[in-house]
Amino acid sequence: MKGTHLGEFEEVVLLVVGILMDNAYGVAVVEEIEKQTGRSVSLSPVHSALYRLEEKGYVESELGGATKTRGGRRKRIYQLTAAGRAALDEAKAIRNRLWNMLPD
Amino acid sequence: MKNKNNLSPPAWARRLLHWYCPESLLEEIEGDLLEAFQLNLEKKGPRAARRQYVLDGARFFNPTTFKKARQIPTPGLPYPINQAAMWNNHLKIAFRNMLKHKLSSFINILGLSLGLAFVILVYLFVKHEYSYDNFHANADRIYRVNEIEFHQAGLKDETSIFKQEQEGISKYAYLPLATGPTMQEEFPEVMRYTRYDETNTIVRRGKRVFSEKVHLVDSTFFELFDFELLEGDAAEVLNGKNRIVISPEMARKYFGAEDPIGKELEVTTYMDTLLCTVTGIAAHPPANSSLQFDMLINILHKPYYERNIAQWGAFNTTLFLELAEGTRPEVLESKLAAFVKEYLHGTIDYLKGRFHLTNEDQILKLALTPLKEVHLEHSIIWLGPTGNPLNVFILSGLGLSILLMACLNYISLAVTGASGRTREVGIRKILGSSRKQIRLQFWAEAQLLVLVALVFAVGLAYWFLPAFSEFVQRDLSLRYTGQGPLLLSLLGIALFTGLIAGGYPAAFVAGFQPVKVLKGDTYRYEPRFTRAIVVLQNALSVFLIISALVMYRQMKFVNDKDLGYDTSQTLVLKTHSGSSEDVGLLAQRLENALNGKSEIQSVAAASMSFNQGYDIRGFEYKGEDQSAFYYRVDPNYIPTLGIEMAAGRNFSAAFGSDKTGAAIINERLAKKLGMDNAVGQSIPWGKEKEYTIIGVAKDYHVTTLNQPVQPVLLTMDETEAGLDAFLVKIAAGKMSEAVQIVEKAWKAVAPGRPFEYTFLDEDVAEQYADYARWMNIIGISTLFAILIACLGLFGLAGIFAVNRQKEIGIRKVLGAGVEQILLFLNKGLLQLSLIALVLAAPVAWWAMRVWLSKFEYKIDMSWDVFALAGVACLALALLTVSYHSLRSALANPVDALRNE
Repeated sequence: MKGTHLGEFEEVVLLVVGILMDNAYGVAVVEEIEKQTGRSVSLSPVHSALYRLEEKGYVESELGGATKTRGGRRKRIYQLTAAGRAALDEAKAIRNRLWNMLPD
Repeated sequence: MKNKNNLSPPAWARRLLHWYCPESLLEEIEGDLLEAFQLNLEKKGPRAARRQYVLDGARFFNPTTFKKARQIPTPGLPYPINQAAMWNNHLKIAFRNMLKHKLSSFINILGLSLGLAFVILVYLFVKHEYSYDNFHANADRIYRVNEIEFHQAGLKDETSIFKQEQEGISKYAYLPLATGPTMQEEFPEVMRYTRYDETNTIVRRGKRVFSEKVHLVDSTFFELFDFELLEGDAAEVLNGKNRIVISPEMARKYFGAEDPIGKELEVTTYMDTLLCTVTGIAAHPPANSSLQFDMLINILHKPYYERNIAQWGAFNTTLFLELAEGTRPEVLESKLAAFVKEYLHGTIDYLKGRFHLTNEDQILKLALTPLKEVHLEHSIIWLGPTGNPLNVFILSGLGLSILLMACLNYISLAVTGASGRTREVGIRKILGSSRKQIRLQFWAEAQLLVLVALVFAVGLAYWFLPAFSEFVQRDLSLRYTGQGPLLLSLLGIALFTGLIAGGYPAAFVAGFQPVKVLKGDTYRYEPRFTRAIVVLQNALSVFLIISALVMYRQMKFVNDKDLGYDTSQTLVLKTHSGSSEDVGLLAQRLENALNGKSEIQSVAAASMSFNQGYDIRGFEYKGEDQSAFYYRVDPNYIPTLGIEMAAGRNFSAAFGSDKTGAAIINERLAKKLGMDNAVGQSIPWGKEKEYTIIGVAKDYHVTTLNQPVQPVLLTMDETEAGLDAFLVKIAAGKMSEAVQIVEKAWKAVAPGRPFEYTFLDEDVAEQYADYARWMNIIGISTLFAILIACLGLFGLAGIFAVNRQKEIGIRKVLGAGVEQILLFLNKGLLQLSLIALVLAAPVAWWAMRVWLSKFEYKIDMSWDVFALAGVACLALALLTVSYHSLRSALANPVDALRNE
């Protein structure tokens, strides 16, 4: 199905959203990616990826609370959906299968 | 303060984000950016954090952001609003409003179309001025060489569009003939060159004889420039002497329907007569070409060519260079100083001695003007016509001011009229319109009006174009085809106008609070803004009226001033004589032929008439350098022109010595030479000659009134000059008969010479043509400005009168008379007009002082000009508003009060 393919970066973002549970929003995702993978990413690609993932139905979002450091602006909190979880599982399965086929 | 600033993101970046980031996404994006900023602040420090903020923020400027924004529904609605549907409604309401408020629509459309028409005309003019010489494919590589002389020590070249002349600095586009060939030999950067000069000639073919301006150029002319060569080969047509290239107009003039190629024309310069074979036909240059020519011959035919090519002292020829591709002009310019030193040291030495300069001073330099800038480079004297960048500046300013006035009209009418639409806005808001939508709606109404006005404006511009072209002395055109860029610019102008005019009213209306307006509170509009607009418009009108008045008075003064000689009823006949022949005999013959004719009063001969150039001669008197305007005349000259004598006598044929050794000087020269009793004294002339002063003439103006009276010296000495002009004084009321008689006599005494004449009074007036044109332009602008200002006032007065209907009614019921009501309605206006006068008068006074400073003889700017302008403006304003004031003052109060 066109449009549901999971890109590598999208996969990372999706995983991080899953890991962060109820606290997945722009800055948190960036911080977590940097912490876990050591990759330096910018905010805008993360937002773009999240928008795409939402379009594909892998995450859903709602506006959350504001904090002082955010200048009174609210966060958009993302949550992994069942479909997102399934997509991750499938990606992992494909990968495992391929790993298994790799000769030693 | 600085620290605090450092702890927050740059304000500009924030504003930028707010500008492009859709509102629906701003919440999360800005929040994230700010949070990231705070984190970075702790981790990396303020500088890095700020930088990161800017970079991250900028990266949100991408398609995904905008795409996402469109998909987010407005809070409370399950789907995004499709605003397209509302446009239908906006347009419908806009049209209905236009029809409902016929008066203000009419005023706005008329005002805006006048303003836009003016802007279109100015736009055409400016575009034309900047299009000069762009049509040459190599225009970017072609440069004109200029000579700049410094006549005082320590001067810097500081000319600009506001300061076009600088004392002590002379700039010419004239160079020695040898400059071009030498530069090509010495500088590898110079690919080609062509010299360019003009000369007056008589061209003859059989019985067709006319005087023509012939241009002298190098054989490379058609390769360097892209002038259209209709027939002939670019490299060959002018390669060598006795070849001539003519325009199709000239071909028709001399050859009729015949094919001119290979046929001969006889060209008589003041040196000799050449037989030239027509080798090519070149289209007449386009209107936006600095070089204008009809006939071209090789520069080798320039009089004294052989002599001048061998020396570096005569600066008399314009030079264009085409640089090799990829050459930067600075490279060549840097080599010019050495060139000057090597070849022009003679001139430097001369200037050094003449102006008492030393070797350290800058004396002479060569510079380059790019071809595309030649037209608007006003400070350098050369052959071709130049445009004045100041004119472009002033006209653009006038055009924009007038358009601005029309916009201000719209703003004040729209804002004042908006009180009638408070309910509409209230309802719209309650039904879910956002502020943005209402802004959009009201801006669209303005835009619609502007577009309608634009249609009329194009028509008006088309209609005014011929007159405007004449004012600015350019051949402007407004065609339907091939005007894509023009159309785009027009739409751009319209959009710009719509934004200026519609922006404020839209924002104002969008600010209505629905609760208030629907509860029936009337929206009190703060009239301060409208007052400011009225003052601004009035001030501009006053400024223009004063300027127009002062200019008109000065021009009248200039035209009416007694010049010291009589210009009326005088025919100026060009003799087209070379220096060799005995033109005195010709004058005698013409006089004899015209003798006894009652239509002719007298015939005089002179080396030059007025406005045909000057001949200034220097001489030494009592060890000092002196100079005077020199004329060779005959005994009839002084009586024919009615010049009065202060002392002594006129030349006379009866005294044989008058022919060689006598002079008449004017009072100014006598004073300059320190002669108390000049008659009988003598002036040494050159090494061998001496003139005895036989008479002193009262001062008369040989130059324009821009300059003081100049010293003049008249002789009959035929070795000094020829006689280029015959002045024929004609009896009152006999002009047309007289011209025919003179023509017949001329054909008889000078067969084969063209009969060309002008009128002396027109020649003299012609010197002020530029000023007169500007007076007309300012006059027309004044008319436009006043019309627009009146329209605005008229509309405003109407709205104010309507708004105060009830107040007036109550006042009348309580016993106020019509005069009292009128006074009360117009008092404010009177005050505003006075403020405008006070504001505009000093500015106008200053501007006109600058303008008048170009004249040596000028009017005083007396207070009555200002009073007149003030009264005129006020009277017009009162007249404009009186319709509405009277109507409301005379209305029956019952009509106003019964609908409570």
